[in-house]
Amino acid sequence: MVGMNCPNLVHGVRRARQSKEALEAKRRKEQSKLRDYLALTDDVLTRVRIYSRYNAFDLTRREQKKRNEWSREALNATTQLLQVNPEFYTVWNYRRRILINGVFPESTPEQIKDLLTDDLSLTMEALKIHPKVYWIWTHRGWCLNNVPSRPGISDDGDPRGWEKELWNQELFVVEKLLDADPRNFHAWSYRRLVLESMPVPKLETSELAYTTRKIESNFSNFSAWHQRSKVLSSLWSQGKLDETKSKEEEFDLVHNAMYTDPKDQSVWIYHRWIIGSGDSRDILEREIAIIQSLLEEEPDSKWCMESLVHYKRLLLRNHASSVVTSTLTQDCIQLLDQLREVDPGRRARYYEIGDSGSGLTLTVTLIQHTSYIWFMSYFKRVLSIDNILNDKWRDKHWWAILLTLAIARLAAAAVQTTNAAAATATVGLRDGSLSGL
Amino acid sequence: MDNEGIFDVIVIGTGLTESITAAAFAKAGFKVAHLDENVYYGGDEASLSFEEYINWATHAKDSTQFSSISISSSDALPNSRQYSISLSPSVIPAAGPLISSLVASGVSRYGGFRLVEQVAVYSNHEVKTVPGSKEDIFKDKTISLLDKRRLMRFLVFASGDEDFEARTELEGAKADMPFVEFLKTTFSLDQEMAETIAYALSHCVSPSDKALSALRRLRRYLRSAGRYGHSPFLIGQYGSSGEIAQGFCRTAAVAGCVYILGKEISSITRNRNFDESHSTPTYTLTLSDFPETITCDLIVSSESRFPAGLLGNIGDILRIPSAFPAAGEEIPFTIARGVCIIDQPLSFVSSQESSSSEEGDSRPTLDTGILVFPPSSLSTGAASSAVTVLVVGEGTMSVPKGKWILYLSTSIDTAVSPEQLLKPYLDMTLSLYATSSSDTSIIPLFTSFYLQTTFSSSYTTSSTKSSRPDHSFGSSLPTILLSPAPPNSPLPDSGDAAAVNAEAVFWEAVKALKSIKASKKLQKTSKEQVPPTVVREEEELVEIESFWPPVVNEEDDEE
Repeated sequence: MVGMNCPNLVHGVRRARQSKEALEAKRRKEQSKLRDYLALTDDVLTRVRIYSRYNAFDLTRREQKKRNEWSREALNATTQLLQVNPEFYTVWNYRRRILINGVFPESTPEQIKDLLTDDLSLTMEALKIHPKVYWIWTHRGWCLNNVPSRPGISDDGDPRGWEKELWNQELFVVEKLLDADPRNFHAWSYRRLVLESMPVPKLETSELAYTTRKIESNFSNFSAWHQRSKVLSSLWSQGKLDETKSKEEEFDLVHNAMYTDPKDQSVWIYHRWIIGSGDSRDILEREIAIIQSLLEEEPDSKWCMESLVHYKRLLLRNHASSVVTSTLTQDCIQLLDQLREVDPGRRARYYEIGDSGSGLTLTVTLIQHTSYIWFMSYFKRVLSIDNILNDKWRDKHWWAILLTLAIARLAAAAVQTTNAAAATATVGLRDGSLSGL
Repeated sequence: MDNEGIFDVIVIGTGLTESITAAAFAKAGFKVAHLDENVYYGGDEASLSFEEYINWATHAKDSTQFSSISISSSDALPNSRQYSISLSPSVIPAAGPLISSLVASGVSRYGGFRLVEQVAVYSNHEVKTVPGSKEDIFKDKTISLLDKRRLMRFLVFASGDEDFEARTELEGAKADMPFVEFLKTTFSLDQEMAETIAYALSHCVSPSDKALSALRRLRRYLRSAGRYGHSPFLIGQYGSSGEIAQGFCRTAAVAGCVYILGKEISSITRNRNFDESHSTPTYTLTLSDFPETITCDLIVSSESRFPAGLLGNIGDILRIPSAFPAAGEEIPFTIARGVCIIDQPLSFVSSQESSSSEEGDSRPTLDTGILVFPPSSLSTGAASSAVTVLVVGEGTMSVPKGKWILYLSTSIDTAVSPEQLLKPYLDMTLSLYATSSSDTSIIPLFTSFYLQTTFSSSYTTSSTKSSRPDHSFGSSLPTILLSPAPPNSPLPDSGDAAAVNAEAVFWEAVKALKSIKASKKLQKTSKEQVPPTVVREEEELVEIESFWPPVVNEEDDEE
């Protein structure tokens, strides 16, 4: 910034001394925290080991009770431990077992509901700090799945009243977490679980609007596009939305995103989903034209090039009778050349696309694979433990080892040169036999 | 009695720059007195209540700053006390020197700030909201796909980190090309898009504004977006720049600065016989209707407020050049301004845009926003400069509920009647009523027009390139520092310019004070030894190491 000096007011010696003390204090604090944590872990795991080591059936009821594996005390110990380390999935499991085996059998439905609500608060607190830990999400789902079927407060005796309330609340929770981080795939996946499990299901069209909102606020979001694709598929299959018209709207949305940011991968993947298997020639040609214009604006766009290759190959595959195959093939080859320049890290892949289906490549691949198999099986036979310990093995078989290695290397080299030759000789695409699309 | 009236520095004028400087002096431990002949704070950037404004308009002295003031009527409006009309309205970029000073000095705790909601541009005979981010561009249905791509490409370029001069897009003489031309040729943008970027995003003033300076300004604004919200601009509540100046004065007063308002300076005497053995201060000032004289070693003043007629010897005056990059090589120095109070809301969203998403007739109403008219956009309007309309509503706490103030401003280079120039723009803005139920235009409750001249013609031209102050004296020490006036356009820059200039003046003053005291060879406590320094690691207790001392953390923490 212009002319601003904003220094840390460090007064030389004094500061350094302070920080050394501060470091020492910090270290001591950490040590004590560590000690406490280890003690707690020890305690809980001992209880776990007790119940797992001894098969429950070996002990009489009285002996089981004496050991207190399912006690309240154990439950509290797990609570403490999980608050410190919610990623310890063994302890989550143990907690669930305590609840099922020890606590629930002795509780009324109201008490069970209260316990589960407590666990929901516990997981909520944990999620605020660790929003991406699988085990917290699964525990939450488990709690909700175990809510007893009882009518709620204001529900005219609906037997799933409690469940309704809690599941509706879950939707609210998930929305809050998605507002905080719209790209958290755990939250999206949980959202799908909630939408499935809700006793009163939410309208799919409103879910579609939700994805629209999320995409409009930031379209660089795989999960939002993915959810959209799921909702749309469902609406189309149920006949609630006209598929053709809806697809046109989706194309429009995707075009806007594509042109705003051609580098965003999620947009291109969604576009590919809409195209699907490429049954409509008109749509394919139109989309190719649109992407072509974008490529002219952004000549280095890797995604444009790759999508064009993919869609042109779809044309070749599905509509070979009504297109000019030679031009299309020529285009693809040119694009693949450009792709190798723009995206050199994936050179080999573009080579492969270029000549997949070539008879020559197939043969070479076969050689490559067989030599590899032979190589491995030989070694499997030979490399039994006794033989290795035996010096004689080495003397006997050294030539075999060398020979195997040599053949493998030759095969690999052959493949590489043939790939290069095939690309320039345009064998694979020209005979139009495309496999491995 | 002996120590009262003896100051290290006297600051004349409570404009924004001087108020920031006074607060910095006070917080650094100097003894400061701050004078203003007006009874209100803020000087030429003051915010006045309705009655104060009428008073100001009808009794405007022959100030060199304001002229051609006209008002529609002097009848009082209801709730007139709740108005806070800004004489030099401005907005603050969310990332910049003024915000940093506000936070570092603690003044930000005194008042609230509101985000400007929307920026719109008038082009092709209609008003359109201006997209400022990737999301805006994605959602905008009025921009074609290709235009979206080109606009995005330009914005990515404009917000990059590298120095613009090193970029290939600016090779050759492109840096000096007019910005609009540059956008059209280098980024293949059409006229409308180029004008939108130049006038509504980068806030250029005229078609001849150069590309490099416009790009640098645009980058500052782009970097402000998203800091406190979507928009890059904030506006201070209770009256923008006037209130902010008052906030700095309050901070200064808390730190010990003495305030004397409403008294003219009747004389400034230079004490001739200070030499090494005496501890006489440099200047003695007398004020009209004030019993005591006050003395100081250094005077800091704004150029426009300095009573130059009172002092014959100008040898010790140091004019601090503006440290803020100017908007262009030739800045018109006169601004035509208009103030208009209305009681119906405006909307920048055209009925076309809103009908697709909203039900009903009313469009989303605007509380605070900026509307830009590029040059030549109105057939009856100006061709050589853009007109900016700043709309402030009750959210800014400077109007009563249900009222809005429109501030119009434009740069002019020839003498024209401000009313004649701005009326067409005002009429066009008033036709943007929010509810389409009434087909008639909004009738304003009050309008006023005036011209404001920036008092910097004599030295901005000579000092835009140089960063060293213009030493217009021989070997004697500077004892009077004149701070540069802030540029009055573009709209978002005057606050930042004031903060930057205030800091430049502060450091010069510190240097000057040191020399003055050294030349007197006085034995004072170490508290007043104040060598300026940029080096941080000093062991002494009162080194002035930074413009603002560290803020003491208080209990309530808003930011």
